[in-house]
Formats: sequence, C-alpha cells, structure tokens
Amino acid sequence: MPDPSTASQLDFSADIYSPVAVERAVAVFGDLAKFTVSHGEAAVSVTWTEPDADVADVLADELANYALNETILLHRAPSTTLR
Amino acid sequence: MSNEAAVAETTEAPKSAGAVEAPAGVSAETAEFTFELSSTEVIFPLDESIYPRDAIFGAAYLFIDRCYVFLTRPADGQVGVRLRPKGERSEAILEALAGEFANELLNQLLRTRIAESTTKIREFYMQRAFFENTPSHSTIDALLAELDEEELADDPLEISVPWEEDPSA
Repeated sequence: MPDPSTASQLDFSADIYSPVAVERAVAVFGDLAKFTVSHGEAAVSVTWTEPDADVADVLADELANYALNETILLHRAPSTTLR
Repeated sequence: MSNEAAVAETTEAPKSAGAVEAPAGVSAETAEFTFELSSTEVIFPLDESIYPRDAIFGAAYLFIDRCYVFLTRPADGQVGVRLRPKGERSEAILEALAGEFANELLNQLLRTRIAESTTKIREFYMQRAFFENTPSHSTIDALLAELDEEELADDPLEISVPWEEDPSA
C-alpha cells in the first residue's frame, strides 16, 4: 500500500485528455485524497497525498478511468459543450 | 485494408512482449501489432494516422468497465494504450485483451467510415422526413381544402339558412 505521506502523481497528456474532464475527475474523487492539479503545456498533472486507505491501491487507476470516460463523453458531445 | 492488425499467429518477441505478425504478402511495417506484457498490464502503441481519435476512444470506452485504461502520448502521431484488467490477470488474459482491443479498433474504424460515407444520405432522409409532404400531411391538406370548398359553395336549393335572421320574418 502506498505511503500516505508520499505524493503520487499522474500525468494526463493534454492533447488526449480534456482538462475539463480531469478537473471533473479530481472533483469527484476529492474526498478520497488531497489533490492538486497543475496544467502544463503537454500534460495536466494530478498530484495527491493522504489517500483514503480503503482505496489507495486503485485510486490512480479509478481516477484515470473516470477522466478518460469524461473525456470521451465530452469528445462526443456537441461542439457547443465546454471541453 | 493494409492496416488490419490480423490476429493470426502470435510469435513470442523478447520476454514480456508479444507481436501479431502480418499475413503473408502484407508489409509487416504496416500490419504488425506489437504489445508489451507485464504481470498486470499490457501496453501497445497505436498510429493515429491509421486509427483516428474517434476509433481509439470508441474502443477504449468499451473496455472501461472491465479494465483500467490509460492513454499516453509516447511519440508524435502515436497513442499509447495501457490496459490493466480489473479482475483476474494472467498472460493469456492480457494477450486476449490486446487482441480484442485491436479487433474493436477495426470495428470502430469501420463504423466511423460508414458514418462518414453515409452522412449525405442520412441528412437527406432527415430533411425529407421533417420538411417535405408526407402522405398523412397530404390527406389532412386535402380534407381542409374540401371543407373550404364546402363553405364557399353555392346553395342552389336554398337549404342553408343564416342563423342571424328570423326565418318567419
């Protein structure tokens, strides 16, 4: 199990993942760890510490899945939708 | 189609890597589908010039319920796909997942191309359905016209009596 005090990071490629989708994923998972999001030119980086012990093992994978799901839904949405 | 990742024979490439060779007579450069295996995940690159973003997203969407899917950008024009099953993980399962994903990519690619090639005809049908006279509209129009004609028709037998006037007067 990851050390709660150690920061974990996931870099989402900015031209694949929608920044809005990543932000939404972080908002949904916000209660499960302390997150910070930084928007770079090539990637949106999500860093977190103190993950909930019950979900620490799968937090990164679930977060990535949620972000991808939201990205795909936004990609398919009408062009007027915020991406 | 030259870009088909035909799932024919699997050859063991270097340890923890797999490859599906092209059928005889097809350039391996365009048809080879390679993937890297570890104990928990399978990773493979996709060429975006062959598989457009819609196809990759379409295939990924179908795997989200049973895999953790993560997409990366290993190089320009390439999308890296990492599949990590949520349930049981074994080499056979991971190899099968990679093959299924490749098949689904082709399926999505075909759907995209059919959708593109039939855009005009679908628009035509929609336009016709919404904006042109359908048989039911024609019937209603004919009935309305008939009513108008009846109201304007002459009354040679003088049967109709205006209600405003007193008939005994």
